[in-house]
Amino acid sequence: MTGISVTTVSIGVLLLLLVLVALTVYLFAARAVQERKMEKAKAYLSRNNERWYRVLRGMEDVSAEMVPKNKAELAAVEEIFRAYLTNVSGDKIRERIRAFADGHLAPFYRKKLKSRNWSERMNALYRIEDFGMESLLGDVHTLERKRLTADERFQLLLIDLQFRPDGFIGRNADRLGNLSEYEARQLFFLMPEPVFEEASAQFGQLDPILKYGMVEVLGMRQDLKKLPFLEGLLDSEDPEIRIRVLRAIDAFGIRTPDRILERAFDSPVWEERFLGARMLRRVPADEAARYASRLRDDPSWLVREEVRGLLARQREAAEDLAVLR
Amino acid sequence: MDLAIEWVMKFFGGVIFIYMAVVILAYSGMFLFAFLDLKRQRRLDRRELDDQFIDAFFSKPVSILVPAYNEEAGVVGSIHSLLNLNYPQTELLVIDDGSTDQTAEVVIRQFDMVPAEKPAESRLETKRVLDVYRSRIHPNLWLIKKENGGKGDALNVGINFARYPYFCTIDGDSILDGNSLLRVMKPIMTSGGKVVAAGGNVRIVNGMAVDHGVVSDIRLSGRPLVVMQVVEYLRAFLMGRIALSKLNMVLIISGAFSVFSKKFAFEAGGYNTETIGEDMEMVVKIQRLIKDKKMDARVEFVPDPVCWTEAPQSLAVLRRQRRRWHQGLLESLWRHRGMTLNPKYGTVGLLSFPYFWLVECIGPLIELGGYVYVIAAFFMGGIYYEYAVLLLLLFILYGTVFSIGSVLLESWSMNVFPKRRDILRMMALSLTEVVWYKPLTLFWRVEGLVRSMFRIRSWGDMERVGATKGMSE
Repeated sequence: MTGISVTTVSIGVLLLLLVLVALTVYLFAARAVQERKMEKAKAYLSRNNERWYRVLRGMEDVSAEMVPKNKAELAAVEEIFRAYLTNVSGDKIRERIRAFADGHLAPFYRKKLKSRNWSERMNALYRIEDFGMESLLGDVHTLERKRLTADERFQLLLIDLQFRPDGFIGRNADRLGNLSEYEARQLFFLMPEPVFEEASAQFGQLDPILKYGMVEVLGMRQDLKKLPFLEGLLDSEDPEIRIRVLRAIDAFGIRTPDRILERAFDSPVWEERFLGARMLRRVPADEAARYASRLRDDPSWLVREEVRGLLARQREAAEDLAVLR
Repeated sequence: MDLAIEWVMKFFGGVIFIYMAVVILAYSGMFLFAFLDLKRQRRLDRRELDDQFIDAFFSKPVSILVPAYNEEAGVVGSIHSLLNLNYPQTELLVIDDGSTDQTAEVVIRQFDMVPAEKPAESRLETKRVLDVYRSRIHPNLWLIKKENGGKGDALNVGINFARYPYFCTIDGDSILDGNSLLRVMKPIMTSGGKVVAAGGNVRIVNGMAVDHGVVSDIRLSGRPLVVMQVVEYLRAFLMGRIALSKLNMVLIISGAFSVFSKKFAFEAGGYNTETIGEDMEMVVKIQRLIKDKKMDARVEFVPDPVCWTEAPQSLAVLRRQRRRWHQGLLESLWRHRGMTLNPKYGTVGLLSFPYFWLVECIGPLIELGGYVYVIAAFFMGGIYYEYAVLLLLLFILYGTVFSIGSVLLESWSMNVFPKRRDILRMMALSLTEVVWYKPLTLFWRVEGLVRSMFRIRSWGDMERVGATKGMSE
């Protein structure tokens, strides 16, 4: 019995070690292939870097030699495009990249979209969005019918927003409900103005996560025309909305209207009083001191600390001013 | 007499075999989990994600807490690496826990610090804070000097002073890769706050070329003891934690690099200043809080972001470290023993706790017993000789095969060590693990177990060699 076990286990361990040896050989071979690929990419870059500069600046046309022939050269072209899109992007450069990608890179990404490997599909979706490849929209829609991960679904939404902004909200109503707040922010951040307007007109019907995302983006955009809209949201029963609205208004960087400050100070929610206290830094010193006295004995330590800091800074500023005079 | 010996040998042989079979099965399952997860993500262009999160509007600000006790050798490198992080909004709080060396003076001098005021909450009780300094070069860098109270107490001071809703803990002798914080924060940001704590992958910095707190060249240490620890970390982080994280069963994320929601940390009562393993204790308390309050929250391990930490280079220091870790583990498990096999705590209570009790806590005792058994069986000859061979094979399977497998898995999926020579060295040393490194660490862990039972709590200083300054070799 033990004899059989020893033999079995010995063979098992030996086999496993042999498998590991085989895997090591495979790994080293794969590395060698990878290194060759990197060398090819490097060679492509040194051959064509200057040319790409001239092509993307509109000083020269694309030559046949610049069209990638394999994955290594594709990786090199991706590097170049990424660098231009991140650092020196302009409408014309973007359009030239889009035209080249649609004309010459689509077959590569079409194949990747069909890959069983999740990261390959994700990379293809990223590139389609980055390079604005409209020619692959049909393939992207085919993908929509498959079982996808949340990351893929979100990337599809971004692509849909980029290429078919009209009717985006109505078309994707179901999908928008499943977004995380981070995704909602990103989506609203990238939304063209008309789509954003359409979404804000339906604010009441949006999921809370979408509402939060939209308010945050409004704060970031600092569009004063939206101030009345934001102020109207201070009537919301959801304290989280009110808090975010105050934060958004604060992000505008203007002196907050007194009526908004009053509402914040009277709130039973400490975060609202805290934000009200923070907004006092843009209010003239004597008025700020008057408001601050209302919050000096606030039950929240953070509110009291914010008021204390504000008064201290104002005192220091007054002393500095006195010295200067 | 012979009959009694035979019975004892059969009984212990049976126990050890069953234990080994369970452990090998569990590790195989976890290995498969890790393989599938890494395979899925292997080719992903992570720069796309990094680009998205680098914008302050999409990220969440983080307070980075660096508790430092007698870390004068590595603290400056550590701070440099943290100042180099690609992250839009951070504040860096170095908490000097009453160091007896020049830790505070070195930081004050190097970063041109002056006394300053910083508002702090007092929700967590701590030892007295002595002074607060702020850098004139980097206004987001603070030094808080306090009375000595241990790492947990220093971290609690940091939480009280932290301004932002999330805090990241980094050991004073550790350095981070540039995008590490961005990547460890990703699950927190994308989950909409459901991930309340996340830990990154910790690797050993000894032997690497380090320049101003940045690992500038990957080199494997020339010391076998360090290389064995490199392999051990790979195995623990890649195999164990990926699987446990997928099943929301994480009980340990390394204190060397982890991020927590401040709100949850406060609710959990902050770090425990009584226990040795304050990092594990914090995670267990948060898991307990989540289940007690039936919250939709989780703790995650993220394999990609890397924190480089200094490993002991001598047997004496390694022994103290392993003893201390094991004492910490046992204390936490014992303190929360009510969670074991308790259905109220879901997979954490029903699977995680039993796994940690059996494999991580009592396991070393059984495995060390296995070594004694092998030696005894060899001397007894006859049928026991075969038992010994069988057990030895299982040890090889358990130790060597999984270690080599982890080295290959890491190399295939992340390729941190690009030189083939380094991979072969790690594999070659893994082949010897069963005969020297494994029994030694088992013995030290059992020592920790015994010391815990006798409540012995002195463990001596952990001398630093300044590996984060590239001075270890």
